[in-house]
Amino acid sequence: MTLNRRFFFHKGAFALAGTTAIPGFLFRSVLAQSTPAPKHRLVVIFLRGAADGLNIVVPYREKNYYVMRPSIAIPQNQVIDLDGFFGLHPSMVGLKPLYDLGHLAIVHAAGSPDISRSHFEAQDYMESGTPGVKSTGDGWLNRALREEDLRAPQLRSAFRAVALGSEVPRTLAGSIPATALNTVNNLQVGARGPEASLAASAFEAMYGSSGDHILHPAGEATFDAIKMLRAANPEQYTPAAGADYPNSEFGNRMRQVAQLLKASLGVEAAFTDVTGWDTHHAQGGVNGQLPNRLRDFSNSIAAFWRDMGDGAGNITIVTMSEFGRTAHENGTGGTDHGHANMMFILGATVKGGRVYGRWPGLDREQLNEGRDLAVTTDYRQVVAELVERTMGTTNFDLVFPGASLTSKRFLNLA
Amino acid sequence: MLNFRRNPKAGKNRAGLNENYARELMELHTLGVNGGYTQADVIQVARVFTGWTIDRPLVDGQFRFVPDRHEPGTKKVMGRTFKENGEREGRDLLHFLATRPATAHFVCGKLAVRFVSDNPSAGLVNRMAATYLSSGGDISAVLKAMYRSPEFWSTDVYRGKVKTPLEFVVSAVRAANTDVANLRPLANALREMGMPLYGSIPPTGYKWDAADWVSTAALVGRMNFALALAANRLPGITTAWTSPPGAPSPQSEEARLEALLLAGETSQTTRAAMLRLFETQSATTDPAQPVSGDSGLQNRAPTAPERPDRLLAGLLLGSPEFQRR
Repeated sequence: MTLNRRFFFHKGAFALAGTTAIPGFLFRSVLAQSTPAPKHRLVVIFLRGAADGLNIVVPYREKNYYVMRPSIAIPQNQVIDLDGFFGLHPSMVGLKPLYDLGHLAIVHAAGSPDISRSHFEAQDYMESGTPGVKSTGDGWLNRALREEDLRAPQLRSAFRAVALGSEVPRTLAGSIPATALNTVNNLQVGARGPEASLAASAFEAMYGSSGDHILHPAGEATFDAIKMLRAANPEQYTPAAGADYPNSEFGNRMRQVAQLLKASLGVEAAFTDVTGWDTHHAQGGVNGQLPNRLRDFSNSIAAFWRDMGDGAGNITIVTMSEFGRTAHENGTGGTDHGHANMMFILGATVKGGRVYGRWPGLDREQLNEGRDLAVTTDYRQVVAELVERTMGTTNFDLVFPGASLTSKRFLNLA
Repeated sequence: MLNFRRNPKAGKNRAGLNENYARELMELHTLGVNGGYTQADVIQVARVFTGWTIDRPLVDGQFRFVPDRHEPGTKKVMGRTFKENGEREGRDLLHFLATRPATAHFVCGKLAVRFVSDNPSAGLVNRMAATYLSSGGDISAVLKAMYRSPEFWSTDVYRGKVKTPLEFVVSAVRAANTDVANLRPLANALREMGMPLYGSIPPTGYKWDAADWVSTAALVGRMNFALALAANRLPGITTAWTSPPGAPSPQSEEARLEALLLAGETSQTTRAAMLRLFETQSATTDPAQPVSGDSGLQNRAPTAPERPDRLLAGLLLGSPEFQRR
């Protein structure tokens, strides 16, 4: 790092080799045209860090749950009962009405068949949709959009696939252009100064005519996104009455997902993530670190649902986390990396009010490697059912290569 | 790292082990995820490190070994036996891990991605790894092997890297010979670009490949930073854009600034995009006419820049060429 930058520059006048291949998928959106709303929208929320599913959807009739978690278990009389066996963590009271209305379904003991306990590897596998295969270049949600295009080309929009955050997540990486933005309200170039518009048009021309195989497509997509967002005028946004988003990073993200969905931008797939789940230390039982995170999580989703109002009719939300956590608590009041986890599925057409999936049990011989909740539902079965119901996916091998998924094994939850 | 990863407090209780530091030591800092260790090895490494802790971690404490918390007995990691030896066990284990061939490949692969290309060739990494092993992990010898490799000097990897936000911000300030009396605006810009100083949340540290740093949000952040820096709009951060006397033409100013900021290596298309602004301006007599009909970004008629050198410098720093190294 002590090398002088000019050490590299002064090597001579090399051509910009290998940078002239411009991908054929590039597109120009129709300027300032509002895009018709897709018939269906899928919102994916990734809980990064491995959420402790056993303290989120609590198997409160399992005696062994209390044996293995002496200091962090949720007492039976404190869970929010769901079905006489499972109960929600008490800080998730915001989600209970959605469960009672039949919009919220839960799959327990779901996860990836890969046994990795590495956050980075497991997230990568879950997002690529090909557990155990490192060479996959794109993400399952991008492939689902492509599969839809192959059957019936969809209207192209810079916002068809959008992620809140500073980078396009692995889940959305691929040949269908995806837009990443930190916040929806400050996406403009040259915001200040009399030369702003001059600079913006010069940058647009530069990136538009550049031969750089990475920066050219990224630049074109960026200026498309800026124009569409400006036309949609999201600064004017006020959430619906009663939609009280927590003033937190995740709350703000869900509010902005609602903004984007309500604006006529043609959003079909939205992605956001929420961190802070890697509770190795002092995670808390009824109160504490994890409960605070859960309150924020459930109140943000509840606010989003209320905010969308009638617009929620064609929205499906699915949550996932790279793996679960050990059934036993560890020596520092937390839990270590485990295996199976829970998934939330929220949607007006979801057959909610139920906890789906075969429960593997928490007796020692029932645990994966004697320590973790076993996976009884491949998360790809759940996701495949959702993309079939929303996008009409028929070619599951394209979306989840190597998984041999069929609709026969769907849980029929949507 | 010990503090960040909360090493176990209760060592004698097997169920109370905290595996995290053990896993991340092998996965992220030595062997790599395919480095040949198993879950059983993770548990064994966690046992070796029982008793390793930090004295008063919240007040900048020092490393401390607490014998009472160390799990007694022999441990076995990847076929190597570590006999009961207190603190020494952990030190021996670190040496063992540091000298594995998998570690050599993992560390050298990271160095090659850092300095050469997002996809370094196996030949380069193998050569570096061989040097790592033969030199006992001497990183300067490894880097020399890298610099002396043909892959390092190949035209294929010339400007093959997209700058990280930190590289972008620092290189902009250095190229412009900017006077930085206040670091805060630079730190803020890095946070907005997703790379806060000393703020990497994952224990991997920040990534070095383009895919992580090129997105809509990131590009907008870079272009805006370039314009703000060049126009001296960041408080306490000043660049003296000393124009030559007289009224230099946009072409000569562009050439001068391009030489200063990009060693004169800007593409024809980028150059044309900048100079077109000045042509349009002098030709525009109708103030309502937009600069370019298809851009749609104009809210008002353009005004002639007071200081064309600053606008040009901002455009050069935000250009596709300046994003590469």
